[in-house]
Amino acid sequence: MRVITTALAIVVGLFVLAGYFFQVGPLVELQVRLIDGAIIIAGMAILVGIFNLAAVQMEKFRARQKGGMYGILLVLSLVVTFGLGLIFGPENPYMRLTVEAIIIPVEASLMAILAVTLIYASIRLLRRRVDVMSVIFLVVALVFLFLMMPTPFGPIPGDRAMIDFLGMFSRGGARGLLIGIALGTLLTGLRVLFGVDRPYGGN
Amino acid sequence: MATLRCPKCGKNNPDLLEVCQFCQAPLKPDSVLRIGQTPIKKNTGELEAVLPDWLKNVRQQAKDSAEEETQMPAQSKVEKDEPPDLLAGLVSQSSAADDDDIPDWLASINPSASLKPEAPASTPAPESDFFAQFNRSEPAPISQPPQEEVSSPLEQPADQTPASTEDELSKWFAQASAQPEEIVEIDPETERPGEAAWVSPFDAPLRSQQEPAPKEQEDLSWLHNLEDASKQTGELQSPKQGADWAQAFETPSTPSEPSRSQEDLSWLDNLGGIEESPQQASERPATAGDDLGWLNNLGGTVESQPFDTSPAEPVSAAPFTSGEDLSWLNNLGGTLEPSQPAEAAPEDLSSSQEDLSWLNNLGRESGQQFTPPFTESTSESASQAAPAGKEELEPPDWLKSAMEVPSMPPPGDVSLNWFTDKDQPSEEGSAPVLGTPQSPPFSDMFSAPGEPPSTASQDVDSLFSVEMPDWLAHSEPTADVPASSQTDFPPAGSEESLAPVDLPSWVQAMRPMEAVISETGASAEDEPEETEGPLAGLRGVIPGMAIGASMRPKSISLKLQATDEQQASAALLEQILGSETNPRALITSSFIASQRVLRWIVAGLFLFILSTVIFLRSQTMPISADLPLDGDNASSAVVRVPANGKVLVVIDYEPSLAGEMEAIGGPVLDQMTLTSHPAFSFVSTSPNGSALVERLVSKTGIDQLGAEYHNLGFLPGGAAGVLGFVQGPGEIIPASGVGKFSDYAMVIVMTDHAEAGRTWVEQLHAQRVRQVDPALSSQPLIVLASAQAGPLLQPYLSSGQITGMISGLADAARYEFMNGTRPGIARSYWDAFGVGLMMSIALIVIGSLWSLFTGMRARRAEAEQG
Repeated sequence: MRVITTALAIVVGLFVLAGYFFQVGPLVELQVRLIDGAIIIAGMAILVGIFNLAAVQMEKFRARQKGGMYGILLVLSLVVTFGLGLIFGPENPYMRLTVEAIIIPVEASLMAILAVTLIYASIRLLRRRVDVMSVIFLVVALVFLFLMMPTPFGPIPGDRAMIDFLGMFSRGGARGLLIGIALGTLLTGLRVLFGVDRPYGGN
Repeated sequence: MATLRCPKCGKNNPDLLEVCQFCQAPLKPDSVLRIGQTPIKKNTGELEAVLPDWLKNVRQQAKDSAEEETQMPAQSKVEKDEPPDLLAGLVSQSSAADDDDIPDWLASINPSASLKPEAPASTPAPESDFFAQFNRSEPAPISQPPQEEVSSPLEQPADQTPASTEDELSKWFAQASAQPEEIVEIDPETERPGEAAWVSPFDAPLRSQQEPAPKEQEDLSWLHNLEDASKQTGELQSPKQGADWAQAFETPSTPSEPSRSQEDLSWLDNLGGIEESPQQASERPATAGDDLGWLNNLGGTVESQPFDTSPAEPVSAAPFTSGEDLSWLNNLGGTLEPSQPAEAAPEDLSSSQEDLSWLNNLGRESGQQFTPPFTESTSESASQAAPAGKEELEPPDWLKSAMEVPSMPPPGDVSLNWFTDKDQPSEEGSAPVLGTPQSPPFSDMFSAPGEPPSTASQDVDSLFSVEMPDWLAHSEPTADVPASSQTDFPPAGSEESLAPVDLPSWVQAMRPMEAVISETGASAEDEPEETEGPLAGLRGVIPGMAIGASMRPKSISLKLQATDEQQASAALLEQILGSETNPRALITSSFIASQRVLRWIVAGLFLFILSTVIFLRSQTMPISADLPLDGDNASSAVVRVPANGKVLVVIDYEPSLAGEMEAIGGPVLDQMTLTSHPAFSFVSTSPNGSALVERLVSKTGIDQLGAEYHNLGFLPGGAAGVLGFVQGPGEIIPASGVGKFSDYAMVIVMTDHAEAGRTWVEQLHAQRVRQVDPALSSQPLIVLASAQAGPLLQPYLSSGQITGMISGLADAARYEFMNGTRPGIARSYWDAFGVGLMMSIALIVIGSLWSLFTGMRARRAEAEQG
């Protein structure tokens, strides 16, 4: 079975890759169909994931493990939201109330805690370790914060130039990251096509 | 003839002998006297067969000479130039023709040979004989009967031929041993005439020896010397018959003539050395012939008058019956004491067999080098006589003089050290140290028979000047004394196998010094007594030490020997090593508490300040109108959207950043709505995106502007979904209302993470490159990104894959300011945003400095502690 899955994965990948290089009508059609199938599987995977999440939380609640109450709450929330969403739709005001009253504030609060945590971490950075990189990081962060900071006195003169200048380093780093990501993605695809990696199971 | 092998020396001896003729060891076990046994008296006549041949010859010669003496007058001493052959008797053993050489005196003594020399046995002349002077008066009832019996057999063999000497001697010895031990009393009256008489027996064998062969006569030359000396001094009277001296030997202690006339061979009894039982002693009458008390007197005088007395001290000799006759002998020695009167005769003249023990000792202890011929036999008889407990006799004068220190050392004095050794331990105080060993009293007599008279006198002098040994000086132990002397020995422990030992005097004489004995005895007494085995009853045989005690190795202590300083150092090292393994308590502040307080403080400040600012709706901080280039491009693209065109808006951010995103997207969507009245199609690649569309639309107010929007929902599949949607939006999401993706006049991607933006950018570019749809190449793509995603999407912007991008609240505020501050979301966050940034910067700076200082101090403290 493992061999079939591996072979199927390889064949499909090759067709899709070939569709990128060869604009042949059937090949393109095949590529589209294979991609459509992948989309469907991905969509179903989300449902499966949600179902798996609910099951785990239920198991935790059933086993009376630590955090089991949170699990049952999660499951209930899931069910209610899912039900209301199916019944009323996302444009329903209740749905919008749920989203605006619960989801967004919760996540926004988490984002605020993150902000405080980052500030606290910046404060204690030099206490934990005092080295060049930590100091540079801290200094650059402060500079950018300062350049972007609105002041009651208006914008800081030369802020844009400074930002573009310092942005050059960031953009360069970003490019490097993007190239690395791209190369990694390419290598991962080739590994899958070659059957080295089998993320679909069996390893 | 069968031979017996001596167990001691290993030499062969005729089976007739009971004692080895070489070492005098008993050949037969029966003849061995064992510890605890009482010596049994035996007739000396039985021992005649034991006598060696040479002795037999001597005796025979003596007999012959005695016969000749009686016939011939005293003859002058034949001077011999030749040195006396001390071993002449031994030489004559091999020849059977030496029977004629037996001296008369010996022959007269021998009862078997008494047939020949009847004269010496009968005549009373032996008073002048040498040995006659030793005849002492004995108690008549004791001595007389044996004398009579002994005399008769002694008389008989006087005329016997030498050929039957051996038989005669054996018989004589047998008879002598059968008779009780008697002291030979020397009749003083008979001594004088016997002075020569005693010599005559000695001379007789000499004379008899001269005839057959010179070498055989040498053994009696000493007698001749003595005779000559005595003649010169004039003290020597005519020799008596040979039987006289024999009678002197044989006569008992009683001065009676019958006793004197009888052959006194009791000394021979003493020579046998076998102690007879008292019954036997009583049975065997003491005959005159066997009365050899004179010899006992020799030993008995030693006991009564110890030899250890100084030579100058007069030794009270027992009065001889013929003491006056032998006074010349006293004068010969020079140190000879004057003969005591006969009145001293009544003194105890008990001659016991033990008195003759000295003769035994003479024969045995000096036997290796030189033993007088007759001392061997005398030793036996003396040993026999010793335990009999005869009456002690005073030593004759000549013997007394022999106790004195000789003027010249006698020959062969080296071997006689025992003499001196015995004297020393018995002495108490005044004991003359015998510097030179002394020869036996009679050794000189035998040593130089051929010397001239002057030398003879010197020899006699030296002869009689010999110190009497201790054992000889002391009284001979009687039968009781041996028993008592045996008590001196360490007491026998075990009575199982051994009885208290009563050693005879001759055995005692052979013992080492008393001091040694006493020492060993004392030390032995300390030792434990053996209780079993062959050594039962003995002490000191086995050292009193546990078996293996000496073999036990010394226990070696395995403990390390260390001084106090070393131990202290070891303890210190151990403490140091122990501290290495023990965890060291770190001195640190409450880290967790300080972190929680600081976070609360920071959070509180931010909440309070920012809430206040927001609540106050402050808009004091000015916004710059200088839009970045990317913003201008985005603004330009928005303006060029055709009217009533379709715009795809991709909602790909999280609800956590909805506020920022709404602030950023509001002015762009508002401008687009105001300018183009497009139809917005909202699609999301996240599940929450669909829910955010409404919020966006409401917050931005575009719905109020009359804009159309469609919420296409969730687009699954990630990049594949995007690819598929790009390739055929109607196929992926049929509600999109478009046939191809190029139908969208603009694509706006609103994302808070670079991944989503990257995906859209890459998929669209791929489609553009493939030129599947050439309209895709002119389709603008605007990215509305948060401040955290903007830097990562800048490359795409720089590469032209993205038409315009508005990144963060700052650009949104500027864009909104340019758009007339419409919707105004950004403007409301601008002051709080500014204050927040300023607080953040302040907190970071101050906190970092404080942390730096505290960190340095903590590290310094750790360094000091470590």
